[in-house]
Amino acid sequence: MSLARYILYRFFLMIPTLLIITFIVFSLIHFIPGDPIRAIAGINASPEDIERIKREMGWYDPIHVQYFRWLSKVVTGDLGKSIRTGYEVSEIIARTLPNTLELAVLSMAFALSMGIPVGIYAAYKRGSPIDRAIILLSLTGSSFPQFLIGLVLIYVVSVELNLLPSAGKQGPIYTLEGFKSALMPALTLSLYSAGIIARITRSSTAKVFSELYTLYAQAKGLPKRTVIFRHVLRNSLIPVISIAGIQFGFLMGGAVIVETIFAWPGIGRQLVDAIISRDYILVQGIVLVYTVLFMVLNLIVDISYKILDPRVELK
Amino acid sequence: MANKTLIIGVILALVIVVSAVALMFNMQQQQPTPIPATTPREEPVTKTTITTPTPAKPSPTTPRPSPTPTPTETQVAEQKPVEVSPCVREGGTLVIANIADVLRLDPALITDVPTANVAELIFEFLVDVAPNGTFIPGLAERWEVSPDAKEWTFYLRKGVKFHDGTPFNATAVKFTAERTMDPETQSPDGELFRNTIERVEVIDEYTVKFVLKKPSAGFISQIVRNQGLMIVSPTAAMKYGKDFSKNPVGTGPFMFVEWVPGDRVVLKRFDEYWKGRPCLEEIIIKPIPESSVQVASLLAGDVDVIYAVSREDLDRLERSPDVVVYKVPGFTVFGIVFNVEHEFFKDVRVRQALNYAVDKDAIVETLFKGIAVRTYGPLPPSSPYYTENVNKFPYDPEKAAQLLEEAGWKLGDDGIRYKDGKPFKFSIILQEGKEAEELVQAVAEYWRRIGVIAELQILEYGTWVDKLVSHDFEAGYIWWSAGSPDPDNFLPFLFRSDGWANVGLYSNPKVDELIDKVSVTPDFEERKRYAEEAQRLIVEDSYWIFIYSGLDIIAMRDYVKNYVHSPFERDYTFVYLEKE
Repeated sequence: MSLARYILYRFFLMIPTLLIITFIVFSLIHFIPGDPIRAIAGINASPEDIERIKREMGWYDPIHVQYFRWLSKVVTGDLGKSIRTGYEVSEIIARTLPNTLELAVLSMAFALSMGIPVGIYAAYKRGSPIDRAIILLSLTGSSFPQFLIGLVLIYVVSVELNLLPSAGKQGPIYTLEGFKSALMPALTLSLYSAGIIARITRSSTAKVFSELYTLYAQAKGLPKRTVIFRHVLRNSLIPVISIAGIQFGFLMGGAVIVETIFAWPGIGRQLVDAIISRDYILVQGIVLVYTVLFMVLNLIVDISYKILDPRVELK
Repeated sequence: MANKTLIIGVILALVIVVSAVALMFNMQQQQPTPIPATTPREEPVTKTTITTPTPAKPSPTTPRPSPTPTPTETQVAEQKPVEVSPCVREGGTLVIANIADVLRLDPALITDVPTANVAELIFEFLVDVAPNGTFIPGLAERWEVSPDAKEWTFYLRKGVKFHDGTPFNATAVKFTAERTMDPETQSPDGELFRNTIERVEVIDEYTVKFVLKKPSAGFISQIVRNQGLMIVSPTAAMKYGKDFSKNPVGTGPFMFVEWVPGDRVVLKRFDEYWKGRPCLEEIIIKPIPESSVQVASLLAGDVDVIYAVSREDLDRLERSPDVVVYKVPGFTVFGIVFNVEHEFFKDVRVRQALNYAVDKDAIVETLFKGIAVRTYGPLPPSSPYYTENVNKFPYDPEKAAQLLEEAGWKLGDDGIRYKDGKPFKFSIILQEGKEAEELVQAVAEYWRRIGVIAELQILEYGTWVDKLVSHDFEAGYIWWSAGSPDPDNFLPFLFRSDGWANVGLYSNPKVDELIDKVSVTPDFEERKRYAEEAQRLIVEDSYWIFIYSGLDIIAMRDYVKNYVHSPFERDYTFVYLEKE
């Protein structure tokens, strides 16, 4: 299959997946106990008011009717309005998604720049105490709860040392203020992925180190540097890329917690708020965006496989 | 290469070591303190300000304002505008941390505290409230009430402008009230307004009259001070329609600039504000959902004011030399409610026994120390109508046991009480959240000691409210909050036989009669007598176990000057920052 046809085919496959996922989420949020109108109207609102608003919203229609009403608007590009705020869902997403992407990209950069060199070094020194120490560290890094790391960072770096702003986003990430405010959340978010990436890099690099062509390159008397960069890395990083792709999705998900701690105005926090108040229209919109993002990421990972390793066949 | 990775490794190691240290530090911080310490601890030097409205000696345990003279005939009051600017310093930006993002910045649609916190800077009421609880002129210079309490006339301040330049007048007041009443607006206050107000008449440009459907002595606190009557600019409201919440325009000291979802609301000072030009150039309100992060941001100096102070953080803030903590009584009462239709709780002796069995003083002292005050009746202690001259149901397990015996509940061999072979077991519903869970666990433990078993059923907020209002429960955790502590905001809803928030179907004709009298009596002393009598009967019937009323706590950096805190409003008009 040619690459172009493959991409088209994969995009086509996305449609049923999207339908199924959005319908499941739509049903779930209706089935879990809780009442968006009550959550919005507050404890003092009278039952009559609540009833009236619900009737006007079509709350009592069967779920599939509500779902198709939602869907028929989505295909025209209308994601609806948030129940809580009355804002267009598309507007909320447009304003918050870029913030989350900025955070995820910076975290990925952190995770890769920590994970890959550490992993390669461990593989190079495999079996040594340094190798074991690195494995232990990477395990620790990926097992620490983000919540704790975030709070600790805030107290140490902001309150005690007064180096970085404690919470909130101070501007776009390419400005100094914005970058400073993104550092702690990005670092917190990246530790888990950095640990995973380090371990994957280590094991795949170790494998390549023992391949015959590596031994041959070494036997030829090539400098260490050339062996590692030319022969080892190109082959050992292929699994790392697929993990990094998956981890990017994880970072988007992990942003939910980190954004709450650091008061980062991202889409993850909008999702948490929306779920808590059962603002199902907003939940739907955000889940839709997350789903599309995940699927596109997966596609990119698969394609990059093909480009990096011609032996891979697209099916 | 090797060096570089080593450095990164070291950094990683450092982060983890620091985390571990801080973990221990954090655990120390979070140790719960449910038992009163027996060893006397050195009292920290605190800078806490308890703004008690009582003119006499402030007592932190029962802060309550002096009686409010309800405006009966005419009230002429001093002009508020300031001739000499009180701003020692001009300009600057004040950053306030809010616990959540704003939802709908339209007074007619506000139901949540974080949004109300922002709205009170943009919008104003006809009537203000002094820290001692008396009503003082706001957008209205004075007002009159007819002897039957059915007609309220307001004489409006002249020369006031909305942020968009629209003049403030009687038409704007009429427009605002009718907008809230309009079912199309979907205001949560709509029903209340429609049930109370017959019509609004514009007498002349600066005089407006509310004609009510039935007499209402609590009209000012119930309606005039209701968010639904925060005066909005008719021009802007008509122009933006449903989008008014994105473009709110009022008469307040600060005007709306922008809202960035999840990030900030920016307000700018309104130069033509009628009380005088505010000192601050700008106010930024940021949602910081984690209260521990709010505290960190305050200590780090990233924000100047925080609105969420948890019990765990209170002590640290009070010890900090750079922080001032303000506490004022709030308007929320918390307790336990029984469904009196349930076979167990029909008998008043049983309800009273369960009340005597609980050491409410100890609960408030240990679980809510510093963040709440003990309350003995249905009104918050900040209400001028509050009385402690009621049955306080002091902790008395023996009396509780005796009452249960009288009611036929005998102690079985297994330590549980039985009547006609049925064990005294029921479920108690509560909303999820630490405060609710700790309170109900404590109450259930006290009940267990007299042989009564309550199983906790922890529910999501909406489900919990639904179960309460549909009477689908046996016993429940309950709270009620109002914008002002007038008895009309509490008693008719919660304790009148037909009150929709009378969730446990309590009915006492005498109480109903007294509640009605409270609603229609304009004279303060007479009204207070009825209200007190109603409270005594309600408490005696032990339909609710009244436990505590929350304190409204906010903390700010000490360079924030000229801030006026009262239970009724947070006034930032002439706040200035004493820092570079």
